[in-house]
Formats: sequence, structure tokens, C-alpha cells
Amino acid sequence: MDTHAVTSLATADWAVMATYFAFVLGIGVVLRRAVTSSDEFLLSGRSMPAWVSALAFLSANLGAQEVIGMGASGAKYGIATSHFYWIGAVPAMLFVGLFMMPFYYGSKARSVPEYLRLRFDEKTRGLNAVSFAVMTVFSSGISMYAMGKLFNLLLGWNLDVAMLASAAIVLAYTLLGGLTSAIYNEVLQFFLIVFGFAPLVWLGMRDVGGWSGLVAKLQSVATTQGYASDAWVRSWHHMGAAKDNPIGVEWFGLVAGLGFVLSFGYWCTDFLVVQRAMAAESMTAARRTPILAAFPKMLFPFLVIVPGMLAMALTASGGSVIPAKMDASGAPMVDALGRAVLDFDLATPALLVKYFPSGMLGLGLTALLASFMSGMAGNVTAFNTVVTYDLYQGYVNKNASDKHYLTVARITTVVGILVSIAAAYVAAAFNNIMDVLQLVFAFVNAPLFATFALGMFWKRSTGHGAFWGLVAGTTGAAIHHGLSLPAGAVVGVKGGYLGATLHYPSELAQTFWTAIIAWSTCFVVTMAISFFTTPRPESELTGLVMGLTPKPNDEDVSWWQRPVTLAVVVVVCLIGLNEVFW
Amino acid sequence: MSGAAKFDVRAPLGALFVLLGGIIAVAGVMTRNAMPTGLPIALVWGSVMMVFGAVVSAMAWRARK
Repeated sequence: MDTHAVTSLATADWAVMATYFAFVLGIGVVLRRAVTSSDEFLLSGRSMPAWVSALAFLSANLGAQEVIGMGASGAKYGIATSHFYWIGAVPAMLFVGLFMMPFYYGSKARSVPEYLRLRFDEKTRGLNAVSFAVMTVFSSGISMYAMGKLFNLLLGWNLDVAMLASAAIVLAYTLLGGLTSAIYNEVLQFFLIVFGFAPLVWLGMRDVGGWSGLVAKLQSVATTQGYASDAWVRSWHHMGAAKDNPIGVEWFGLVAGLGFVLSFGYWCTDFLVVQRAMAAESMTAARRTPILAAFPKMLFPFLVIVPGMLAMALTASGGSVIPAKMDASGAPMVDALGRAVLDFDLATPALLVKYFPSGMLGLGLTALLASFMSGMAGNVTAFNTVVTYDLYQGYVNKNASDKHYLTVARITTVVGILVSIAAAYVAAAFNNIMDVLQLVFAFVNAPLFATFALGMFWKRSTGHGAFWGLVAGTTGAAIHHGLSLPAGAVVGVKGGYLGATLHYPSELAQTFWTAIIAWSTCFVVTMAISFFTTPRPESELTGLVMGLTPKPNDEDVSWWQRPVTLAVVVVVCLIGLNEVFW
Repeated sequence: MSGAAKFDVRAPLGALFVLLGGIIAVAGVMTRNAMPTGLPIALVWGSVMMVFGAVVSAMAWRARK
């Protein structure tokens, strides 16, 4: 394997990498003394300034899938990939900050499942806690495997060594410094990504002749695939019909499926990100966390999607930047027309290798490694909190000392890492099992936002309604998926196992519609069952539901720093960005 | 920050970027002629990183006083 490595590192690159990891571990060592209680270890003692928790909020999500995947999508779909940010993230981030954080932070719940117990009942919490815990360790494992594979390909690193070494580093700093350590490292990682990728965009843009050069070079990419010549450089213009854009989705599926159901389901209910805001030092800081994070999030397409577009433009004009995908025997794969199948996942890394001199290559690759690891750390720190507070304290040992729970939290951290490693090896051995698992996770996640929206904004909703709504939503998603098939797929993990009666133009279109069905089913069933079951008395719902909770008061910061003001600024910028790239 | 023994994350952040910027700038000087784009990118970018690191360190130092 080693002889096939794309590139190798110079001394300066190794020095950059070693310096970064020395800091990562050093932070853990210094913070070790601050960890004296389970609250400190798992929740950072609710002490983070808003800007720190905001950057962590952003970085925890900025894992492997994002940097590599968004570059790949930039090459495959062009600037329309920015919908994953401008439609698929920012509105939900504003919503969770403005409207949901008062209940998460104000309820003093220590986790998202715990909020569900306070608001609804034990079974709803249990369902959410178990599914979340399983999902986080498997995501962490999938991410670990993706990292090992990438660095094996790029630098010829041994897969086992790469995976185990990164797991050991993550274990060391999360075990030493807990959530604070994870959050501080997420802050470092944020700046590493920005400084590691900004020059890539700069050099690439110089090379293709600026935005107008990029537009010109991407025309042939679009026309050879049968799209309008500007299909790669306009985000909304071709969204009228699925067949007109490379994403293969029409505007309604995009806005309702991605922009509403999936995006709100992730940013507003996933404990991995919400945990960062819950670690903030005050209610105002917690509410500002996702809103401050929305500013850089809005600009991330230029950092992670544009490199993919640049790589594609250079490849199309004969630069052969993006390598061909190899089959199992190591020969390049070709499609039905005899053209090479490009390995889009290598679009961004290949551009790094092309442009960066020694030293900077180390910076770019360290930024990639850092994002893999902080993704892993994010999963592990969310996993240990849910397992310790929701599963262990909730069901195994309710009344132990805090010292006991701190020990449990530390053990859970080790267990989380070990299970992640196991999951990484399962992913390496059986690709299909991982596809099935990710599908199941998608079914479980899709209806979640309906439950939270009804819980927070409708005091009549009940625990029975919430629980059965979730079950029905997940079942609805599975049924819809089983009855549908995206174009070009065969019956199996891609759908159609209940009889392929619905046909979608692309897998994303199918995913978005599965989410819409799941959300609607959960919403309707939760409401219907709530009407027939007894709601909890209003006195028990103070601080948990709108109308029974005092309005948050942001007078501790000046008017221009308040959540509402910041959110308005974000919305104005967002409209501007969509207009420019329409 | 209320956590008694916690420290300002800007301290390691600033120090890290001064160091990384330094390594990259030195590497840029040593391999000056090897740049395909004709731009001393490593020297320029290493310097930018050092300035950023210095500003962040200054902020951490001021906050401590």
C-alpha cells in the first residue's frame, strides 16, 4: 500500500503536526486540575464565554464528513452545495438560539434526553438517550475509519496505526480535561481549519483567474453532463425542477426536507451541538452561542465548497487534479461511456497537495486531522454525558455521590472510545452494515424536531403522544424509504424493499422526502394522541414550555450584542448571499 | 470564567499560532525557489499566522491584568 501514497511530508510538515498535538495534549494536562466534579467533567461547569462555546458549537459539527464531503459535493454539484449551509444550517441555528435555548438552558437539564424527561416522561427520555448513545459512537467510528483511509491513501500511513493513534490522542485529552478540553481543542481546530484552507482558496482562485475564470471553466463540466452551462455556479436558478440541477432535487423538497426537517432536527435537537451551548456561562451566552456561530457558518461554503469547485474546474480544463476512483484491484474505474469515475472525496486533499509547499502542507493536513479528531471528541463527550446522566443515573444507580458519577463518566469515556474503534473496524470490514446503520439513524432522527417543537411550544402535548409520535415517525420514514427508489439504484439498502412504487430523481431527493414524511407523521400522531391523553398540570411545566416560562432578559449585554440583534444581522447577510449567487 | 482552575483559551491559541506561523515562515525562506506559483506563500502566510497569534496572545495577556 505504502508505495501508492499521493505525497510525503517534509520536516517542516512534521514539525507543524507535532507542535499542534503537543498543544492538544498540553491543554488536557493543564485542565486536569480543573476537573473536580461530574458537572465540571461533563458540562464544563457552565462557564464558557459565548465566543468560545460558539466556535465549539461550529467545530463539533465540522468533522471529517463536512470538510471532505463538502469539497466532494462542491466538485459534484457546484455552488448549489451552499444550500447545506444557507438553507440547511443557518436558519435552524438562529431558531435554536432565539427560541429553544431558553428551555434547554433555563430548565437546568444536563442533556437533551434529560429535557425530554422533564418535559414529557421517562420512556421518551429512554428512547432518545439510547438511540443517541448508539448513534454517537457509531458516527465516531465511521469518522475514524474515514480518517484512517484518507491518510493511508494520501501519505501511505498504516490504517491501524492512524486509527489507533488518533483514538489514543482523543482519549487522552477528553479523559484528562473532559468537555472543557474538548471545547478548547475545538476552538484551536476552528482557527486551524480557517488558516489551513483560506490560502488554498486564494491560490486556487489566482490559478483559475478569479470567480469569472472559475465560472468559465465550470461551463464544460455542466454541459457535458447535460445541464445548463451555469448549473455549477448558480444556487437557486436551476432548482425549479429536479432534472435541471446536478443535486437532483426540486426547491420544495430542498426547503422542506433539508431546510426544515433535517436541519432543524439536527441543529435544534442533537445533543452533540446543543451541549456546547449548554456549557455557556449564562442564559444570554447560551442563546448567543448558535447565533454567533452562524456568522462563520454562513461563510464556510467559501472555505470548504469552493476548493472542490476549483479542483473540478482544474480537472475539467486538463489539470487532472481529482484522481480517478480505483476498484478493488487497483485499476481506475470507468463509467458506461468509458469516462474515468472521479474520486470526489479526494478533491480537497488533492488541491492541498497540488498547491501547498512544505510547512503549509503540514498545516492543511493537520487541519484535516484536527477536524477528524474533534468530531470524534465531540461524539465521545456527548456520549459519556448521556450514558452517565441519562442511562446510568437514570436507570442503574440513582442516588450515588457525585464522585461516583465522575468515575462512571471517566469509565464511559474509555468505553466510548473503545466502542468507536470497534465500530471503525466494523465499517472497514462490512461497508453494508454501516450503510444500513446510517439509514436507521436517519429514520430515528428525522421525526425528532416535531417532538421538540410540540414539547416546547404546545403545553397540551403529552408524554404518550411524544413517545408514540417518535415511534410512528421512525416507522413512517422506514415505510416511505421501503416504497421508494432513487434513479439508478437497485432494491436493497437504497430503498424499494417494500416494493418500489415511488421513484425519485436522486438519492438526496428520496432522503429529503423520507424526512418530510417522518416529521409529518410524528407531528400528526403526537398531536392526536396528546388530545386523548392527560396533559401534565401547568405548574409542572414552568421553564419547559413557552407561555409558562418567563421571557429571557438579555439586559446583561448591550443592545447590539443581544441575540435578536445578531440574528437580524445574520438574516440580512444570508439574504444577500443567496441573492449574489442566485 | 467561573471555573477556578480554568485558563483563558486565548493563551494556548496565540502561542500555537506564533509557533506554527514561525515554522511555516522559516520553511518558506528555506524553500523559497521551490514555489510553483511564483509567490512566497509560505513566508507570507507564516507571517500572517504569527501576527494573528501575537494579537490573540496580547488579548489574553490584557484580560489577565
